[in-house]
Amino acid sequence: MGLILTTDKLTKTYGKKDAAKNISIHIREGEIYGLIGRNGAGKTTVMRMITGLSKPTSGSYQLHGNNKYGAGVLIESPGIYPKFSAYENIKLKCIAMGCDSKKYINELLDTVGLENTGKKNAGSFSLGMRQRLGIALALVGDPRMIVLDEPINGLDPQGIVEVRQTLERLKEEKGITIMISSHILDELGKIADSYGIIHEGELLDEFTTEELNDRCGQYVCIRTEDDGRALSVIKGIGYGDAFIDKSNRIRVENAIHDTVRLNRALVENGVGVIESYIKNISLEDYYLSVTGGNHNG
Amino acid sequence: MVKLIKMDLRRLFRTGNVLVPLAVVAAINFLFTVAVIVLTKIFSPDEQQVEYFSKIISNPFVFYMLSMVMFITASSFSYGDMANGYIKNLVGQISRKSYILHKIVVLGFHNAIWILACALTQLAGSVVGSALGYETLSNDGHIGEALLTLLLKWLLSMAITCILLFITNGIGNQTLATVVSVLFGSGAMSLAYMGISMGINNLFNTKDFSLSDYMPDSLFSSVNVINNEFVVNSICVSLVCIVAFTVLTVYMFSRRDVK
Repeated sequence: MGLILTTDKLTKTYGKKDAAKNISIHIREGEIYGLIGRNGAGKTTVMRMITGLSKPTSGSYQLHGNNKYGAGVLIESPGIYPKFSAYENIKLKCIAMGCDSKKYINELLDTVGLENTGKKNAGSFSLGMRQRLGIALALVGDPRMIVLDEPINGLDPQGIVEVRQTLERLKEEKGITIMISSHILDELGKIADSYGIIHEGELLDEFTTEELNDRCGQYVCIRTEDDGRALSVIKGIGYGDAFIDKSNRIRVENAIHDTVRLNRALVENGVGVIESYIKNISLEDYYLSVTGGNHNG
Repeated sequence: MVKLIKMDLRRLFRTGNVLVPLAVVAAINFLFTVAVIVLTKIFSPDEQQVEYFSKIISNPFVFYMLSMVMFITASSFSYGDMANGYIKNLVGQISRKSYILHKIVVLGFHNAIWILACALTQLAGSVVGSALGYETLSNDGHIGEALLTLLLKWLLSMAITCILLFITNGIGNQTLATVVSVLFGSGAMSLAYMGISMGINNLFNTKDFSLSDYMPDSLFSSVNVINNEFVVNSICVSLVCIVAFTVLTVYMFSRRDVK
């Protein structure tokens, strides 16, 4: 997969504050790229610059290949005329982009699941419907890439699932590259192929899902009636780097294929096992470790 | 840019914020024209009322203040994309210069529709007054000049609209644009112009300088091709305002972050 968007030291300064500083992002064609960061980290600033809504103070960005109309965009809230129907909202942009046909507009409505909204004003749509209308507007003109800023924020669980399914369909069926930011890391983890972590205006890390798994991996987590004695038993069977973590669980690295032997050793040595399971290091854990945050912060 | 013009024209004809005020003003224009004719006949029954087509056509608004509504809807329409955030769907994918230029063209249609609708409703009111026998309509042979006056009024309205577009799209302030629309459309600035003119006359020991001869809102009410009043001023002031504020708006809008 070739790159579809690269940025080179993209910087945006407001007054004396750098909202984004030397951001160099690499997005591959056809993937879903998740941009992660807390409020005010600079995610929206970066997205606004690469979609032409905001001028960079310095640095540059490039959309590679044939991108007649640049990237489609849904930044912050969807920009819609509340007194017009979904059809009319899309039709207006279609006229501006020169792709105005009833069939095309109905296809877009189908894609985002708004085909049955009829003449209902977009202003009376639920938040999820508005977000999906915003996505449809971003898709007008068939851009090869769309940029979505917090598209699932504030949605109910059903709305989140609908938007996620829409994005997966766009990627699978149309091969559209999607850059998406979200605070809901679990949801992002379900759909994204690559990630960028942005913190205080700086891009701290960029990695693929495979790289995330390689870096984080899995470990065995055990809770017993006597953790001190259990730890010495575990170390005694060859897991010298096992330790008791902050949540008072014994953490054993590189032992996910040896859980039966671990359990048997503990029982044979008279240590009661309360629970034993394989723990995945989540995207959230990795994000917090990179940014130096914690779960409560 | 043609596609953008088509898009905004569709929006223009489907936006209640434009069509409803236009319908109300057109109705007021019609009803007051008829009412003035009837009342004049009632209070001066012996006086022969003669109205010329050219006079009706060259003064489309029965009250000058009605033009204020036209300027308010123009500023509201020009800010529509920003107010709803729809602009975010557009400016990342089209040139910002095209965006501003298409707005000016569409606002040109907007003003033309307003001025023509008001001229026609006033004409209709006079025809009704004539049909009722209260007034005699006559052609004084100046229809051509009257239409040219109407054209100059449209040009001056475009000068004012370009100033409003600068405020809404260049600066991004609809409230200020509405205030300026009211000031320009109501004729309230004439007092200020008078004061400034007096100051300038005192300062430079001149007697006949009048700022209102060079301001688009004053000229909008006073230009008259039939009497050859302020024709050259109107053309020059219109062109200067349109060009200057278009360039300024494109410059400012190109450097703005769109929110």
